[in-house]
Amino acid sequence: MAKLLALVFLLAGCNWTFDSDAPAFPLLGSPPLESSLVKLNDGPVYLSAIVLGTDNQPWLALQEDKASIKLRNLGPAGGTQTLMGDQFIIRYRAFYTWVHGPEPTDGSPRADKLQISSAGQTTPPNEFDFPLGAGALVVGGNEAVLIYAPLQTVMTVDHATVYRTDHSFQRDVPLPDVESAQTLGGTFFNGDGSLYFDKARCSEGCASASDVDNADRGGTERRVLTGHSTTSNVDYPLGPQPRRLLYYEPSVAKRQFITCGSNGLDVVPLVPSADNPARVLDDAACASPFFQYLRLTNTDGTTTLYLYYMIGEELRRVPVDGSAPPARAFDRDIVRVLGVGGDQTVLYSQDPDNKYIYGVGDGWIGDWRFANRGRLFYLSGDHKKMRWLENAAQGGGIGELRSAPIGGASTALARNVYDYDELDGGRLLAAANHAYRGTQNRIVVIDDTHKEARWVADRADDYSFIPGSTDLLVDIVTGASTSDLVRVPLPPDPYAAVDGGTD
Amino acid sequence: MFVVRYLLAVRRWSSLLVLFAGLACASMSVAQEDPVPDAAQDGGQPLDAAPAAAVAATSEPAPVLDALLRGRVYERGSVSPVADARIVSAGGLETKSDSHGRFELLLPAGDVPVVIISEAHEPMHVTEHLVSHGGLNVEYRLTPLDSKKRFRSKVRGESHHEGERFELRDEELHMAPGTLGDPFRTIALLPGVAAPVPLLPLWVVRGSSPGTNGFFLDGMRIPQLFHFLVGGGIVQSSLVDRIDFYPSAYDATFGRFSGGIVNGETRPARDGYHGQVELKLYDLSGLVEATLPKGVKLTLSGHYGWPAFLVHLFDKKADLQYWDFQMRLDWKGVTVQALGSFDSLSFARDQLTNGQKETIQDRFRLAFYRVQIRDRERWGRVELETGVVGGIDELASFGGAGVRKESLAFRANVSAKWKRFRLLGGAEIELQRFSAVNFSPGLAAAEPDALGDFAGSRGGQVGGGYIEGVIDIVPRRFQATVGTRLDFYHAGPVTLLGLDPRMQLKAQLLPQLSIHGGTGLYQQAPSFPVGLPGIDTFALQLGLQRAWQSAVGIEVNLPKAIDFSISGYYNKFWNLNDGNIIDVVLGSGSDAACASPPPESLTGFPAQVTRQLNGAAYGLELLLRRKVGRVTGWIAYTLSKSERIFSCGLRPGDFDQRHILNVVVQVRLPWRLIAGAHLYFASGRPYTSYLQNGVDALRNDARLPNYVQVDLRLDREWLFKKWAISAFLEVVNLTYSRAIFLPSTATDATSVMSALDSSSFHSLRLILPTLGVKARL
Repeated sequence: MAKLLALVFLLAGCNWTFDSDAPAFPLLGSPPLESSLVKLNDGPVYLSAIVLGTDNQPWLALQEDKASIKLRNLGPAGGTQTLMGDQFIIRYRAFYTWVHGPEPTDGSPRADKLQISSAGQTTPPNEFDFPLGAGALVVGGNEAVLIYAPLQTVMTVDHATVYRTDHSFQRDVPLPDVESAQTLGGTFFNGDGSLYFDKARCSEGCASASDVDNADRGGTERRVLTGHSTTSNVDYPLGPQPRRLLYYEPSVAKRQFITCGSNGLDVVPLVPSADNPARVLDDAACASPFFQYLRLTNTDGTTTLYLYYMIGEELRRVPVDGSAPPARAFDRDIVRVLGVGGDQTVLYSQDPDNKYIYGVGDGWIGDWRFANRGRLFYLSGDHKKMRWLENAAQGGGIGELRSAPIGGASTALARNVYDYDELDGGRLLAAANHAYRGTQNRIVVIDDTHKEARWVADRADDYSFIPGSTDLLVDIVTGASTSDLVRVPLPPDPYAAVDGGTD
Repeated sequence: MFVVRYLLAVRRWSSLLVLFAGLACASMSVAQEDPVPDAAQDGGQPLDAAPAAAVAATSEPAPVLDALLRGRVYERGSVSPVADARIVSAGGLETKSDSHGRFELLLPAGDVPVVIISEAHEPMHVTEHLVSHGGLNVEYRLTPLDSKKRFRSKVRGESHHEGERFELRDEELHMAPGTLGDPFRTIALLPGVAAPVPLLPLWVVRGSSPGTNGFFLDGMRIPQLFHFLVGGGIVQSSLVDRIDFYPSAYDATFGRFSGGIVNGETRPARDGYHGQVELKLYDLSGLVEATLPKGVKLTLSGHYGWPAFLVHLFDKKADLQYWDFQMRLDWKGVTVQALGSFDSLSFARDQLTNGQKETIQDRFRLAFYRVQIRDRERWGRVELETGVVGGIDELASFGGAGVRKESLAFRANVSAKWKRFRLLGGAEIELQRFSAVNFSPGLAAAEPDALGDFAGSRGGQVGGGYIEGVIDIVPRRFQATVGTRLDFYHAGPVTLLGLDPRMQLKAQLLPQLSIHGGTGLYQQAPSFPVGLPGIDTFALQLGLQRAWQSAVGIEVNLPKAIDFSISGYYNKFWNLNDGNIIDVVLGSGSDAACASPPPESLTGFPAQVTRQLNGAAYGLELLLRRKVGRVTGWIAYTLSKSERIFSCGLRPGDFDQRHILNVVVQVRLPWRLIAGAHLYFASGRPYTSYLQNGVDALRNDARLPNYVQVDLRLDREWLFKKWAISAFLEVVNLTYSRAIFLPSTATDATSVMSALDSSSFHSLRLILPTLGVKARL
């Protein structure tokens, strides 16, 4: 009787759906079977990174427990290694492994070793002894330099030690702020690591913060800037400087900072000289959150390096060498510059960067307003299309991936996209269906020219490119907070032969 | 003058004087403790100060009826006139009060014993001293009977809607222990209702999703019944006249909901002028009633709450506010109503604006407003109800992003009644406009897209129609109701249509035994897991939710005014929007275990919270209830099972609670005291545990601890001549039981969720004592 009633009601009770907005972008193919994918981890992965091995091949570093790092050669040779230690710092070229010494019984600091090694290395690691134990470590200068400071729990820290990783030089440098000793915060290097800089709290000689300094978040006071050589005991005191500054090193003789503050846009040479004088590039009070170098070709065929920056809502540019006065670089007031193209196309937003989360805002090129609440704005490689994530003012910055020919109407490519990249042939790789991390996540390749998408991986949360190959390293969601790492080939471009495009 | 002539005519044939024996002076004890007398006469002593005497029969000649007794009868402790009260003299002469409580009665001169009798009040005895050819103006104030006043509720009573129904009325709505005097909270004490988070008004009715419950007030659809947390109902409690609760298998007159229905009715103003003020520790409410010229009746009422100090127990930076208002104006068959409700939960947070730190209030805000014009007419066998409703709903999430819904709805319901057949039909349409709004433009880093489809700007049209026949197959013995409704939903590019056939049967097998049953299809557009203002007509591309509901029940009237009923139900669900709002809000991550994927077309928070699941729920409900007497109350037990088909197979639903027991006892004590107690027991709902190696377990493989809660309530009322004051003390969760939302999950140093930490729960634990004082006129 119940079944009969159910049948009667279900036959009589109906619903109909009329949806004229059904997605028109087909997802083709099928995801590779999980069983066909090579799982690269053995257990839950806490940390993973792709590093460069001594064989110049990419290696995968996996931390599955606290005491070791598992290394897998992602190159054609394959192979694995295990790195043992107590604490690990992973950099692209090397692992910095703390090996704890025996715990002393007299309350004195424990002496630790720092071992520096690379993936695939068969020789003994490069070692440094630290009698005061593991501490704050900053690696820089193309991994040629490291700076160490012991933990304050061990002693009152007033200096850091600079080491060349090839043991060619070391020196003690006073720490500008005792508070920063734990992290060596605020230090940064020049390109080759021959210099590093720190910024100290300003105790004297600093003017009180002006409205202009305050106009940018965090720009509340100046800091005392000092450069330190990592190859000699020379220091370069540069005095109180605004917090917004750029380092520029066209040559050793012309090392300089360009600072942006209430005094204007200034050049502060590391070593003042006739060739590298202190000068003012723009005397308008500066609080620009945006800086971009752009080398432009002059009418006589020479090139000039320009610095683009904002004064109020005006985008300006000035030759870095000071050969010309500053000039307006865009003919309208704008709130925020997102980027300046090589052809001087200005990509901008009229929304302040804190209007929405993650700096989301509208997107403009000239009079063309292509985005409403977007982020991850990228011009296609052929400069013919804009791509971005729309409606991205939400947790995780997830949005709808859209593409639009310059000046044209946009097309939705995928929903709930977490990240995307343009592949060489113009296709897009996207981590989609990612309203939140879960088994519904997927990696797809989207061809916005041919209006189709293809599976790359299912249950896939995120991806990384494996250098030197067309494969991806993909996180496969296995649990509420766990994942497996697999290697997945990119699907070939079926139109490559026709269009000439390749990945 | 006409009355005097009539009474003189009566005098000519009135020769028999019947005296009656005096009854026990029940009202005297009350009168003696009262600061004012029960009755007063012009220039005379209070009547109840005179001794009550038994008057013996006499054979003397009939006295001359030349003294006029006139006056009004009121209910004691108020200014409410009592209509149809009988005023009877010792000689058997009597009259009745009219609708204004007025009366006139010709009596013989001298000391005349009089008794005033009303069905809902204690009888009142007085002796009036009347002078020949004179008149005496009096005012009688009758003490209401507790049994009549407080417990007129009945189960499965009369209504305009068919189907299994619980009906609650009068003081039962306002004094049930554990409800803080809130009528709507009484629903949670009935069978078939699970409250997965104790202390919070989140209901799961017969295994359905909380978001599929429908709330109606005077025919209007309203998005929420309650303010936040302890805030109580959004309608002043004294304004609520009755509440009908339909757990499932109701008729075709209710549409666009696939869960249970709560249908509340407010009352018009009483005659005369009345007022009421009620003060609780965290809430002030008031009500004013007035009869205006030309028979226009006006009621104004509202709440204002300041429960912030309670919230500060948990978070000093938090603030909570709420208020509501209601206006009702009745004139003949037309009713004009306006109501509004506002809730705000805010947290202070620091924000950098132009480099300067400032403290701002980040606010989650709910508000809705309704204006309704309703007309009810009757022409012979035909009744017509029409209504126009305008509404504004607003929701602002933290960060300021939100949605505003503006709506205009029309409805018409008609019924025609013949001897054995009733035909009902109706139609409604609601025009909607949704706008994405930033309610806090001063806040930086807003997340307007987090609301996804909820807050998209769009226009919507929803509506439907029904037709239904009710036939007495065997008069007063066997009744069948058959009907169907067609509903439509349209927003953006999507249109949905749903056709819902429904049927109910009712049979009176014996005078004390009846049986009823019903079945039907109940379809609804996608819904949020809980009703919220402005969250409506979204994501239609997901299709309709569908429930096939069936229920059958037996009712037995037992001696001692005890009713017993037993009901069984089976609900089958398809495409049910059944996200676990608790998991999502608290971010436990357990929703990821064996979860069905979110609908791909949704983004942001809707994607996190919406799951489309199939499943079923079935169960058995027992209700033993005593409606009248010194001791009243009920025992409601529900045995239920609710299941969903997750990606890993058929598993218990997130809100499945196997056993639910509510015992409500109210005892009338001397000195107008009423003591009440409520015992609540519910078995723990499921959750998903995690294995030590980080691999998820099967969904809902474990259960939270069982929950037991005891609430107590004590009411006392003092009646004065024209006003009354009452006080109540209610202690909710006297047992200091911990209301658990979710278990905590342990994470290791790398933030990987590795194991369930059974010793740690996201929970709320508080005893909520409330003291209230109410004065009424």
